[in-house]
Amino acid sequence: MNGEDFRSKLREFHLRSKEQSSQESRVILEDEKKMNNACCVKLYLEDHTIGNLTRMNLLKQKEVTFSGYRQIHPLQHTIEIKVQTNGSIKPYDAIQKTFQDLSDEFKNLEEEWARKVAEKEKHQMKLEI
Amino acid sequence: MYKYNFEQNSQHRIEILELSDEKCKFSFEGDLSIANAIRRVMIAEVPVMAIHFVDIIENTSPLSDEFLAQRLGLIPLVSYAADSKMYDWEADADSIDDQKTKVVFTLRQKNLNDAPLEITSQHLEPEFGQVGEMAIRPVRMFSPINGKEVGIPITRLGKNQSVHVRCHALKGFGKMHAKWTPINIATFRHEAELNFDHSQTQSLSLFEKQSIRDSCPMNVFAMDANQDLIVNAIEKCVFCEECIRCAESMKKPRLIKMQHKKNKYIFTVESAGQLKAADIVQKALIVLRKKVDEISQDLSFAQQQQQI
Ligand code: SF4
Repeated sequence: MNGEDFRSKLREFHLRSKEQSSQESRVILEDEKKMNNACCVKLYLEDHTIGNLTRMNLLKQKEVTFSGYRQIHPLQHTIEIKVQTNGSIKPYDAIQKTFQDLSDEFKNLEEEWARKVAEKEKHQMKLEI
Repeated sequence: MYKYNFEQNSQHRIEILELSDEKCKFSFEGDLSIANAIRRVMIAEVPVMAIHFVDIIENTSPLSDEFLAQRLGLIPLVSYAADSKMYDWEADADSIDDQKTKVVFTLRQKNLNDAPLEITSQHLEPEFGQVGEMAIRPVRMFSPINGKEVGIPITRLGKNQSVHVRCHALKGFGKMHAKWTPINIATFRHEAELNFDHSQTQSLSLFEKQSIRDSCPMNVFAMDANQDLIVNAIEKCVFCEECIRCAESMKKPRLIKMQHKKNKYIFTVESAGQLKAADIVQKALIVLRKKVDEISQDLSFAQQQQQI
């Protein structure tokens, strides 16, 4: 992927959201017309990191019957996530819940990492003495 | 339809195996998708500083201007301060010298002697005096031979040749250019799971046990007090199957059963010098959380707008 292009896109995006002094949204929602209980989310300036993470964690929910993602074009910095649920919850809510869960999980991991590093450093200090 | 078999609400666990400033090894118990996200973010999305624009005032060195700029860009800069609010994306070549958005280095050398002069990263001088731990400066490199500090070579000057350049270091991440990647290596692999067939272990002689123990190049096995073969350091196993071949040569092909342990991965992270290895992981986790939070905010924003 063209890195310099990505840098300038990110810069443009930051400048735009600063000018408007409101949050610029990177998300475009599209209802799926041909399918029930399905939606398509386009994420600007994201790649497989978020795509795969969201897809796999969406599949963890029992209500989700399908989820998949793709990068629309290798030169476009946009991914598209499609979700279908069995109708007991809305697809948007399924996505929101996934992000909430992931956010909590990363918070836990951060704390755990900091704790483990401190422990390990202490242990190594002791060994040196 | 294919449905993945997940452990519901699986708990993540981290265990640090090795830790130094440059290198960190840890085991991660949890989801593959999360492990891979952490790896990808460490490689491509942890922000650090690197020289991005170079004003060439004078260059009579043997290297062309573009070549010189490229070499300057690849010098790793210690960037402990890079994730704070200090350095922002808005910086550009034409933006005024602003300490908040960039760090400027000057390099001004002229060789007046007959002997060639090696220009290294040690000759880069920060323009606004940066001091202390948090300063943005080129990483220090030590000679492997005598341990003396040597800089990273940039170019060499013959007699009466000179360089005078100003370098603007900006924040960026690996997705934009590899010079902003804070790591040399970030990989993960499965942990092995070794099981002995206990009906066969009893018939092993002491010599056979010892030869299985010694067949492993990574010293995974050990003997316990009862002279029984035990698995001592499973995280070292590299799936070379030497132990299985050794057992086969003893006509006991099903003695050791080896498989990938599910949901447990061993990470190796090696820093390139910009950040400490442990900090890279920490920052990767923060970047991921912020990303997820931001998207979920944007999503609810977009949803609200659509309903109106
Ligand atoms: S597979 Fe190789 S590294 Fe692993 S236990 Fe057997 S001999 Fe040792």
